[in-house]
Amino acid sequence: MKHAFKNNRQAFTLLELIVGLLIVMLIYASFSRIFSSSGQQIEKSSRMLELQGLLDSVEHCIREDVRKLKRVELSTEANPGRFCFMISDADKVVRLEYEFIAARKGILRRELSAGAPTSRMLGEGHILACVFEALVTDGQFKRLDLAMNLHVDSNAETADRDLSVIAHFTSRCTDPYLPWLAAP
Amino acid sequence: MKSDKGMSFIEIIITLFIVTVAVLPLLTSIGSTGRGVYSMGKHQIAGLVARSLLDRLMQLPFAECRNKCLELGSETLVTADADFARLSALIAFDAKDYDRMNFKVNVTDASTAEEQSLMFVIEVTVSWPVANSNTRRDLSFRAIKYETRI
Repeated sequence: MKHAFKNNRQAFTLLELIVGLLIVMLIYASFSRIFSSSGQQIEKSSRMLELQGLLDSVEHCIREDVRKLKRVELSTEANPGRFCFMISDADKVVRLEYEFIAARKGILRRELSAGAPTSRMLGEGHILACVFEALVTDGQFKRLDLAMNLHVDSNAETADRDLSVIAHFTSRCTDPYLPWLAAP
Repeated sequence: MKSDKGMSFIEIIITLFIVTVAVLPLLTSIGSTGRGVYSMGKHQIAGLVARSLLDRLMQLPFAECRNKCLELGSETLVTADADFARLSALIAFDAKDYDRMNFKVNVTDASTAEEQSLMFVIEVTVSWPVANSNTRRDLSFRAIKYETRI
C-alpha cells in the first residue's frame, strides 16, 4: 500500500497576516511619532544651545570690559542704546563704546586706543532689543544694567526661540564720573 | 525528520515585542538629551542671575551690603526683584525662562568678633523647578565682602 504523504507546510492564514500587519503598523506609527518628537526636541535643544552660546559671548565680553572700567565717558541717559567708557588695559588707556544697532540686530563694540580703531559686532542678527542703563551716583560709577532680547529664527519644524535677559555689571577700578570732561 | 515549518504567529509576535522593548531605552536616551540641554539652559540663566545679584551686592558699602544681604535672606522670586521688574519694563520682556526661579542670599560671619567687623561671606543661591517633577535644582555663588577694598 502506498504511503500517503501528508503535506504539513501550512502558511499563515489571511487573518493572521492582517493582524500581524496591523501590529507592525502600530509599532511603526508609534516609533515614527517618538522619533519625530525626539527630532523636534533635539532641534529645540540646539536652538537653546545657540541662544546660550550667544548670551554667553555677549555677557562675557561686556562683563570683562566693564570690570576694567575706569571712567564713564558717555552715560546712558540721552541714548539708552549706547554706553561709552574708558578702561585701563595693560598700561594703556582704551576708550570703549557699546552701541545697539537695531538695523543689524547686534551690539557694536568699538575700541579706540592710540592705534587704529577696531570694531566688532556681538550677536549680530540675533539681538532684537537692548537697553543699557548706567547707574552713576555722586559722580561715581556704580553699575551698568542691561536688558536684552535674544532671538533665533525658526526652521520648517521648530518655532522661533526667544530669550530675555537682565544683567548687572560692576567695575573693580572706578574713577569719579566727570561729565564736563567727557570726550565728545 | 526535516521540518518545513516556518515561525509560528505567536513567535513573530513575541519577537516584535522583544524588539520594541529593546528599542525603548534608546528612545528614552534621546529624550534625556533634550532634558539635559534644557537643564543646561536653566543653569546658565540661573548663573547670570546669581552673578548679577552678587555684583550688585558687592558694590555696596560694607554695612549697607550686609543689611541688604540679610534683607534678601528668604526665598524671593527673581521676577519680583525691584531692579529686575524696572529693567524688564524697558523692553518687550518674556519672563517664561524665569518661571518660579527663586533666589536667596545667605550671610556667613567670621568666627571672631574682630574678623566679623572686617569681612563676611555672601552666598547667592538661585533655584528653579525641574520640568515634569516636583524637585528643584539650584546653584550658588559665594564671595567674600571686605570692609576695605583689597
